[in-house]
Amino acid sequence: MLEVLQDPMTAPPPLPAALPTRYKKPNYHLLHALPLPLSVTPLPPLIPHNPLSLIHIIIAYLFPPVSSHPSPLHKGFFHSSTRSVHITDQETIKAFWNHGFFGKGNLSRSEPTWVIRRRRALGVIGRDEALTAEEVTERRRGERKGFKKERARLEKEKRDRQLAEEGKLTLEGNEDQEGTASGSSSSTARAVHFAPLESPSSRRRSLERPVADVDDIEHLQLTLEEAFFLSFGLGALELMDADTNKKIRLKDTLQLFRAHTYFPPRNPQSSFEPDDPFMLSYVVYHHFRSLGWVVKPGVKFAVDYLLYNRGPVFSHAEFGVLILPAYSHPHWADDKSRKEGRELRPWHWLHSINRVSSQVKKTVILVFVEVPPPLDDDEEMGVADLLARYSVREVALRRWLVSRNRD
Amino acid sequence: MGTPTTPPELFPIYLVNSRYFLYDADVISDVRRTHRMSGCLTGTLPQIPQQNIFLGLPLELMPEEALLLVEKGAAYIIDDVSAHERGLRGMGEVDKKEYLEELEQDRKREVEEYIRRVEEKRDIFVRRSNGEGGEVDGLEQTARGDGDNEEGRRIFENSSVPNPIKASTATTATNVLIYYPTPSSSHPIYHYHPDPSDMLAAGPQPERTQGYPLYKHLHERGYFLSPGLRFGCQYMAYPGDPLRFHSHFVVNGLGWDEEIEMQDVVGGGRLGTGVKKAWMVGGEDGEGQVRTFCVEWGGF
Repeated sequence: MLEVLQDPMTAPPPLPAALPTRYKKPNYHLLHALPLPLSVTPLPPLIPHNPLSLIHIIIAYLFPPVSSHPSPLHKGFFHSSTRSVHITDQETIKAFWNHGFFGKGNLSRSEPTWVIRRRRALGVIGRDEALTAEEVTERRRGERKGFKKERARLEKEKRDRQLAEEGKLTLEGNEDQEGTASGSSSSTARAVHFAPLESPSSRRRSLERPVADVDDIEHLQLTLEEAFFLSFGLGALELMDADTNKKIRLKDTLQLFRAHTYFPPRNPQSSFEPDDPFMLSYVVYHHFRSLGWVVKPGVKFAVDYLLYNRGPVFSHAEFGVLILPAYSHPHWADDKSRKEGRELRPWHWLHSINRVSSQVKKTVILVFVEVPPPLDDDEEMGVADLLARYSVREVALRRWLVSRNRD
Repeated sequence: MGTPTTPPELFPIYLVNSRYFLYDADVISDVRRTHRMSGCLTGTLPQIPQQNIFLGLPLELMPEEALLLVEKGAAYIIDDVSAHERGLRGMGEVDKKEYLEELEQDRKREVEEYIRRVEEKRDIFVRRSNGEGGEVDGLEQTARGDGDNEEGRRIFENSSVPNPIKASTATTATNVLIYYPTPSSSHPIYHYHPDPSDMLAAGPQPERTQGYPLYKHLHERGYFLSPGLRFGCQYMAYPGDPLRFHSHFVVNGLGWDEEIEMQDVVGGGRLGTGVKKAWMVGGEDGEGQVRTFCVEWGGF
């Protein structure tokens, strides 16, 4: 009796089984809980009348039970040829992608998933095993398309039935039926044509299940700004030169990266202008990262950066950032070529950027970076002091349409 | 005002504050028909200056259009400010008197026309109130007596005026409010056409902009080009009259050695493809040959 009662509880309810399979995303909130690749432990509570708690706090502060930084530090290899930092260690890739969405896979569109897709294509893993985000999206879209097609078919059937009832479906109806019949026959012909393409892979999958596994040849690429933020801003990354396999010091890193934002790369020992591309873009990158945004490159939307609220897996980017140097310091007052060359851009350019951004429902932010005057030759400055000389102004921009902005 | 030496098809383009204008509707339609230039209507109503859906004269030309018309020998540039001042100052006493007389004549003609219309209406009214109208309005008919013309006039005219005949003659003076129709082209006094050979009134040649070679190249191939600022480009290229066709290209004229950012190419591709057009860049190479390139955004 008890068993009989338990049976309907344990048995899966029939309704969900009848529904088409929903491709579930992994729990991103759990996976990407940390906003940066650092672990944070809260300090013990302060109890005012207990002096021991203060000592406890001091000890916990000075000697934390868990280090915030990984202990050996993550390693990245700077490649001059690709002007990027390569991460090959799987743990590091996971840490940087999952906690802060740094970098992109060099064979994927964002998250490094090449090996999974490859394994699935070769039949090492099943069709629905360990779906990547883009595969889930693709299937969703496929499903949606199929659903729309089905809906249109049903609607047409209903309409035809209605017409037949009203007696209007006579000659035209017959013609229609003939049309659909010929259409279906052609579609079956097409299906026959495509079938051989589909079958060998599935047969191979079923027959040769134990295929030799695929080696993961993908690495994570960090842009220079990301790498510099991870090493200078967070201290979580140790940069190595890929050619010499030696550590690069922080001060040298800055010079090296500044040299590599020019093409062809300049000599890292030379002195750079205060408005070189790396400084401008890094200042903006650091600014938005420190405000908690996830900053990704925005070339595909014709902007410099895209700002994600929590990360690309959670929502679409809300803002596109354009970096513009501003020469309002009196030092640049006489520098006509700089002002005209980089500060003045044609109006139609701004309109085109704004149109492209509003097509994809993003707001453009013009970020003006105030360029400080150049340093004297004998002046030496730390990286932090160097960056502190820059300031950033933001102006949000949106297409204004009379009809849509009326009260 | 055209002198006999001037061929009739040579028309002036007025330069005001480095913008090029046409004021004459006939010239504008001719430019559109024979020179394939649509320009931009910029005039608005003084009482509703904010509406910009229906714009009228004058027509603004792009500098490229003005330059091309001048190069073709179809038009000449006039510096409108100096021409206007010269026109007014150069006007002698005789001219001035003539002009004022002409104005007065116009006014008189208008007033006479107005009075004629008023009388016509009054006659109609009187005839109606005497004839079939009287049967309908029996009460008024009895009050008015037996259809006196003067009575009818009194009813039609303002009743406070004692003598209606006198009042109607008095309207010939200044107490009648008349709305003059605005002429479609400006009066020659304000737009006196200096001779094309008149060096003093001649404006500077339009500047050869960077996009001009590409503009000319496309124009020669039958395209209508209109300014594309609000579409994010320099020109929109229509395969025919913009009233009949959608544009095919979003055009940007560049220098041959000009550097263009990758990001802007991406943006251009998206811009064009998003509205089912092609983004075109082009320029003149070293040998004076114009070459064009189209970019489309193909998502993978």
